[in-house]
Amino acid sequence: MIGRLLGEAVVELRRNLARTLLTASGVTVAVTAFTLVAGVGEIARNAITEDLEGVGGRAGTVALTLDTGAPLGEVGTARAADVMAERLGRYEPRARGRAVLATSETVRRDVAPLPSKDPDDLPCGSSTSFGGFPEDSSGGFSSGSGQGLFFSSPCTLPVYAVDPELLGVMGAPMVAGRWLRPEDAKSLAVPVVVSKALATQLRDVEHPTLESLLGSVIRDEELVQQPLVVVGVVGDNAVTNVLGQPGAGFVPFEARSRFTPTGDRGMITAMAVIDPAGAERIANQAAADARALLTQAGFSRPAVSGERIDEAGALGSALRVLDLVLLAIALVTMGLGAIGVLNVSLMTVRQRVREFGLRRAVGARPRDLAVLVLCESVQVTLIGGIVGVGLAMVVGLVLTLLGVDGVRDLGLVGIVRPAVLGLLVAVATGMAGGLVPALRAVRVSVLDALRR
Amino acid sequence: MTGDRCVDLQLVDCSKRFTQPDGSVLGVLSDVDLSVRGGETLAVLGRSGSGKSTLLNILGLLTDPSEGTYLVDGRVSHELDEDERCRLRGEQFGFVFQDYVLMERRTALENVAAPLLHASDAAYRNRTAAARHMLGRVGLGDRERSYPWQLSGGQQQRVAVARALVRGPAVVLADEPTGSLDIDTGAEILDVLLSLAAEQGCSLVLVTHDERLSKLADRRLVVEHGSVRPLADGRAEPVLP
Repeated sequence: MIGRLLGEAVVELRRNLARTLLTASGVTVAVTAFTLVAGVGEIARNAITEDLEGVGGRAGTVALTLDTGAPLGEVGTARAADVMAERLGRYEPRARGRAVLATSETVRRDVAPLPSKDPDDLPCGSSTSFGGFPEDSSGGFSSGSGQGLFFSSPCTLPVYAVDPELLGVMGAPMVAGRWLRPEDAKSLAVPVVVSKALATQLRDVEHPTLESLLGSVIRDEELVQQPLVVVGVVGDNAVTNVLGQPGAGFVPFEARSRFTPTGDRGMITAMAVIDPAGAERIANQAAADARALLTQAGFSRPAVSGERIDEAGALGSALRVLDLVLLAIALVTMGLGAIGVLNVSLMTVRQRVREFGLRRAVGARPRDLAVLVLCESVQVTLIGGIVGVGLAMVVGLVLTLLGVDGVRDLGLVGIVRPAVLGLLVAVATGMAGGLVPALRAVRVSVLDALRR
Repeated sequence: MTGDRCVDLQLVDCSKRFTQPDGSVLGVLSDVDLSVRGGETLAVLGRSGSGKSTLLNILGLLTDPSEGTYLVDGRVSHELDEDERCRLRGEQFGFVFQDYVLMERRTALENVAAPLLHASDAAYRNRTAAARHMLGRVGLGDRERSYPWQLSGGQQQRVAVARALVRGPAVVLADEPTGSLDIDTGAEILDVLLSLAAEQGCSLVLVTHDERLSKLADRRLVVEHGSVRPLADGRAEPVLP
């Protein structure tokens, strides 16, 4: 019956073209405005999300950490990493988790010292080992401005052996180049992704080697001279909060033994992005499972801890404000549109009382009339909504072509959410505006209507 | 389209009262006993305000009697829920009103097809052909795309007759179908109505002021002072206003 009534509504709208177009044009203006505002909101949402995820990892990032306290050796490390990743992998609906093997090696490059006001700002977390960085102090590093403390000791920077999925876990954009790929582990010259800070350090090195990255801690002469290829640069903030250290180098997990042949790789961390709801509980459960499994596998009192490491709270509150603003705009837009639709629909229903009486006489149920009136108002607003969304997209395209800041980042995918929201607002407007007239149509007395 | 169903209608001790805006109660019909057998033609005469239309509205399930029982093919009208009442109205009854009651923004063809919106899937799919056929039967095959305002009164009433018959109802209820027409046109309409009703085998309850036209019916009743009584052929009862 709905299909039949939709067809009836189409005929009714076509026969009242002027009324239909006038009503739809009001909705068009409202939906265009809403979609544009929603588009701007989407840009803001993307920016906030990018910033906060770049700092704290994606919402729902959990980590299992194993502090061995003693070298595990190559086999032991791989086994422990696999167990932890497998445990966490059981709870990973949103992204693959994988072991992240972290080592800390010392970079012994001589660099010009950088002034800093506060030792806590320093990248290594220790004021005694900071060697400072050249002119680029952006990205969470020292905020010095030419006065304050000076440090000239070498800085300890970590190198992480990671799975390629780590970038997805961190949710951090690449600053330049590309992230690691699975096939990188087999490359002769090992591809390395470095943080911005480390990139600055390596900038002047013509042919970087392992020594350039790790300094002289590795005694193996052949290994030290192993060529590196820096394939990408990642932002510092993501590294800082997700892995706990600012500035770092990343090498393929499968190629880890080529960097640290001693097998002493510090802490093993497995990370995954899971549903934020209950993330803490899942992290604790996975840690307990991993402890039990590692004990069964022969590890002596494995200290596995599980925790949630993202900053979804900050992300959530920031986005909640944005959503509330959007909701308010949507409600105002819908209200204005609905009043227009309500006005026209009420007038129309009043004019069509006799028709409704006739329809009842020939078999229409009261709810058929209600659905008919609702179909008409929703169709009008949907037409207005589609045109409105189209207009908003054209405006967005023009702004993009004009190179307005932020708009170019929105892209076609970015407009989908505002467009869908715009259409939903249009439909909701039709429903809201048509509801009262529909109820009026239901209450039409057949006899009174036919006597008119 | 031919209705092969015969539906018996029966009013038993039915009364109808209306509450006036000032709160007073107006009795229109009292203790009416009436049977309409399947396939018969019944003319109902009476003065204006005598309750003829109210009687027709009760028969067509547009209103209920205040007291008494109305049986539609053995089913008590009071016990029908709204959906069932609508279904019965659409399937079993066809209505013809004095002032046509056509949808102004719909063509003649669309007006005739309107009742089929609530018909079975097969009938709905075939609605245009059925409506076109009925329009042809009432002599308006060439006016199917005309809007009501483009038709004369007689033509509009023909459209209304086609609409009443398009679902093949068991009973056609015509409330002064010639009341807005001149004598000749009225006679033509009634002729069309009677012949098509006979062709489809449906009952016809015809409310009219015109005693001459009422004689075309199988049986005649007069409504007077809220009561309904039979009118024997050849008896000149003072029923006209």
